[in-house]
Amino acid sequence: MFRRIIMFALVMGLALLVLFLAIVLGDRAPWYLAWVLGTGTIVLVAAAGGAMYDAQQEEAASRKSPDRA
Amino acid sequence: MIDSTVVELSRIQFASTALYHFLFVPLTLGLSFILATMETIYVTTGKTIYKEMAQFWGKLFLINFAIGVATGLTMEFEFGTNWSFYSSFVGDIFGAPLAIEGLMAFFMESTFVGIMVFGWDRLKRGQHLAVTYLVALGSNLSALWILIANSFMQDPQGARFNPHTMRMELSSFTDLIFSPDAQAKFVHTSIAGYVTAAIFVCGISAFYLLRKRHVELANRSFRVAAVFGVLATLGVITLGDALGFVGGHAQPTKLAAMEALWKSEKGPMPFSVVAFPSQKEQKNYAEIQVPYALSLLVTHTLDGSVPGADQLEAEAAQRIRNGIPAVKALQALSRDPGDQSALATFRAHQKDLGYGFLVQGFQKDLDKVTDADIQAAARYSMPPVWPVFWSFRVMVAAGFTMLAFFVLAMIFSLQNSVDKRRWFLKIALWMIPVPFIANEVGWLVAELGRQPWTVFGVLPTWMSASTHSVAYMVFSLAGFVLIYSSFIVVEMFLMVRAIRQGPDEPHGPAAPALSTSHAEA
Repeated sequence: MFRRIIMFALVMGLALLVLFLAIVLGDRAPWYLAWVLGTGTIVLVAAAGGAMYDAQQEEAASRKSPDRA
Repeated sequence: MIDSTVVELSRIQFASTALYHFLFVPLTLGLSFILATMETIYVTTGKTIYKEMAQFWGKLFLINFAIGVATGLTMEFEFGTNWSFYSSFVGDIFGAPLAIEGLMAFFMESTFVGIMVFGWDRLKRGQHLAVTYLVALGSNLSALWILIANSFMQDPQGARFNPHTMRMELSSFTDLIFSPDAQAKFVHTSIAGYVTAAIFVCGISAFYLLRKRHVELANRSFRVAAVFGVLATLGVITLGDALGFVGGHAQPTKLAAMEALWKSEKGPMPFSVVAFPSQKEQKNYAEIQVPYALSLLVTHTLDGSVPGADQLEAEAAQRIRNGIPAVKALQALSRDPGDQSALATFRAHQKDLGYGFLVQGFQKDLDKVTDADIQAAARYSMPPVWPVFWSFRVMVAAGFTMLAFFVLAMIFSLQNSVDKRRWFLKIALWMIPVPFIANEVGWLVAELGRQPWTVFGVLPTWMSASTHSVAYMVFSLAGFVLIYSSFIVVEMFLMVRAIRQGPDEPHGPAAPALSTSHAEA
């Protein structure tokens, strides 16, 4: 329970920090904010693309040998 | 007055060291985030092939990082050795971001690079991933600070000149770091690094696919880099437009040089896709133009106008006339700091102080300045048009070529057909130099376009250099070229050896098509 509360506080702190940064950067530094959001998006979409490759391979393998499905 | 040969040699020396250094930096910026992407997939899926990928590309990252740091170190000292007046004049502003950049690069980035490389067996997966993200963040934040310093040279914000200390002083740190030029330049440069790394990973992966070696690793690396690259290229083109928009307002002479605009016209203005500018005659030969495009690109309207060299030179001449009393007042204040009349004159004309300095390159004694000197200085206020114009076009063409490449790379990779298209894999291999060329010419646009100033509109280049002898400059320039060329040879040798050797494959060279066999227990 105690660990969950600590985790909740940490994540809440992080969320508040992100909100604060979004407000401050969004107002004074829109391109810096765009970099933070853009880099995050690029990394996550590229990671999803990589994971999708595995899913495609597994699907192709299961189509070739239905026993494995 | 400093010997003009020494100034030119100092410029060549800085340009050559910066261009050498800038061969390594973008790859570090981008590859660090590609490593983080690969490791993210490893941590979330548990498939060890992604760990092998992160380790293999991490080895190439390390080689590049080491040479990048070695070539960057000397540049920090070069400001002091070869540009001592510049360092003294703007050191209060320029020094702070430069110092933070050093701290970021050598403390944060280097520390975490060490932990990333040696921590695979010592840290938990999540901890190691956090370290890899900190390496990526450290690399890019280190670039942020040097680009903030550079942006001060392009568009001096957050500083004012103190006539008593005869130096620029920091007036607002937030204005310095949040200047529009700093923001757009950082994001454009950082994402250009992502594109560089994505092309690099695609190219090396294509090399393996062509030779049917490390196929599983190469296919996955290609997929990650293709998706990473297509988004990054869209970003770099968008930010290139933003930088042009911001820079066009802050440095109209650079914009006029980029577009070889000699005469001011009323909008809508055409964009010259091809032209052969003659600076002497102030006209272009063999122009191929697209109607409306320049107004749209630079002003984001269909009928906006952009000032040409004729208007900018007339404005510079006026500013030179206004700047001469400021320099004279400064000379009076250096003789008598309590001279209130000189201080009042200085205050009235200080915004054009830099232009007063500029004309001193043509006539040292300001009492003897003629109209011809003013006209010559005004004409000199335009940067060299031909190299800026063509560098810009090469950069833009490279950007769109890379976008087309990544779109095809992503489509072929999503179809899982990239390894069957040998023609495309060969193109991918030949694409490796393209982002490096784009980065180098991009640097030339930014820095040649700033001429004849070290700090735009404030400090002319001819005043900024140190008073070395020509022999000293020739000797040190030759030394730098020799040492840096050997760095490139070492980097190429280590890279090629690591690539030929390939990744360590615990699964053997022909790992089976992915299945749960890659899942870590």
